[in-house]
Amino acid sequence: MNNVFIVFASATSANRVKSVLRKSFGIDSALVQTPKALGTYSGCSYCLKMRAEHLETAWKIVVSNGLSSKGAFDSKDYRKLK
Amino acid sequence: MIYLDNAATTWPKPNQVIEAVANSMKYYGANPGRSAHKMAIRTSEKVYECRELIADFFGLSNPANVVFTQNATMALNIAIHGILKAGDHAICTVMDHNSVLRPLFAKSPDVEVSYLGADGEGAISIADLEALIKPNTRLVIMTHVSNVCGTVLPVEAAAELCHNHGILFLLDASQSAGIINIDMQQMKIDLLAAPGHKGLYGPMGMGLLCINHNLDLNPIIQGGTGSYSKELAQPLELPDRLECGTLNLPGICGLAEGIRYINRIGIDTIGEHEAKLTAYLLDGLSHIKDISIIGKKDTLGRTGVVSFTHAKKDCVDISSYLSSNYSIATRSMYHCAYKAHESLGTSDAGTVRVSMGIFNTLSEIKILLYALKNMI
Ligand SMILES: Cc1ncc(COP(=O)(O)O)c(C=O)c1O
Repeated sequence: MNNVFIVFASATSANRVKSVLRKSFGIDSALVQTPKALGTYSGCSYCLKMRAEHLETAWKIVVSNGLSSKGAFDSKDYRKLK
Repeated sequence: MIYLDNAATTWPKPNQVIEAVANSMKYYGANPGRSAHKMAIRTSEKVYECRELIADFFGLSNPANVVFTQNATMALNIAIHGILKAGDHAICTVMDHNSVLRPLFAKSPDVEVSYLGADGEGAISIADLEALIKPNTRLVIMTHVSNVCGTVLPVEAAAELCHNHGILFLLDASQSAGIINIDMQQMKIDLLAAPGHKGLYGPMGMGLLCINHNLDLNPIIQGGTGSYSKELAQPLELPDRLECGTLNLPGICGLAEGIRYINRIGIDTIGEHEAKLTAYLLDGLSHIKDISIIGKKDTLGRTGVVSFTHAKKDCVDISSYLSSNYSIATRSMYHCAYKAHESLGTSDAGTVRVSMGIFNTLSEIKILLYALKNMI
């Protein structure tokens, strides 16, 4: 199962996307420590991990709320997806 | 003890608040937004949950615009110093607390300040407010409820007026949050400052500033946020822009439970309970010789903050008599709002203030009235 990480600049933004995903779309995601490989992108130490199929929905939340994300990445090879 | 000093801070706190404070130290003991171990993440989620709860409570769409502070004074200072710059004009009312008057005074003369007057019952006029507006008026600040006499100010009309003139409106909800319904969007309130420890039944050491839209406030303190760590400039994003250093987690968890407690009982029920006690108190006071009620004499347009004076006795003596003989807690003299006392005609000696909370009962008010009747 493919997962993605969305890296945020602040813990509040990460929590916001997590909460909207759950409350508005019933999608679960998890706040996790940002992997070392993505450290250069990281603004804070948290990122949001979710199944790849939910990335588009999550990304819409990021964009429509003007949240400053450092990008979305594949969890296996850390390829930048967004 | 009969605690009638709820305008200073509410007491007792609901059991669930006390439990939440204790539990926060057991289960949410890590620094949120900094480290990324399990407890830190869980704590960060808890903090966000509380922001959401507060945002919902005050009709704010973005929980990130809830800024935690140590009290209402800090929230007011962040807003006042963060918005006003040299050349601006600001308006407040004479009914405002020193936590508004003093930061404004500190900004003058760079910032011009006008004081909107009040009548002998603490009421203000919207026409008078409009007359004070100038082309450079940037901010109007108004207390929702007088902490001296409980008069409710027409903040919705004031906010509407400000909105129509493109002026920011900052509400000091210190005496109304948790007692009167407030919807920031509906009421067009740009900023709201509130203590967490009064009508919201959280612990002391908690306050909050809610910001209705994307305003850029100049931060008055800078420091660690756990975000943008490589940058020296304070982040632009809320809440990090205005909230730095380690948060008061026990306070935040307690405040969240305080709000849940209010939501469960219902603000209207709380308001009705306090109004019932206030009506009884006002009626009783009006029949005691030498006592004068300060402010509105009936329950219309007021809350359960009641001030009175005595023709022959000093306020401080009355409060100490009540405390020593009946274990009744009240506050006397000035209530950090001297201009209000000038308007209310109590600038010489202040007032005795009785302020209700959800835990007060009719029999407590009866004992207070009995004590006052039997004062020699
Ligand atoms: C109207 C008003 N504004 C501001 C404050 C300051 O609140 P805090 O003690 O939380 O700073 C108070 C406190 O009594 C108040 O009554």
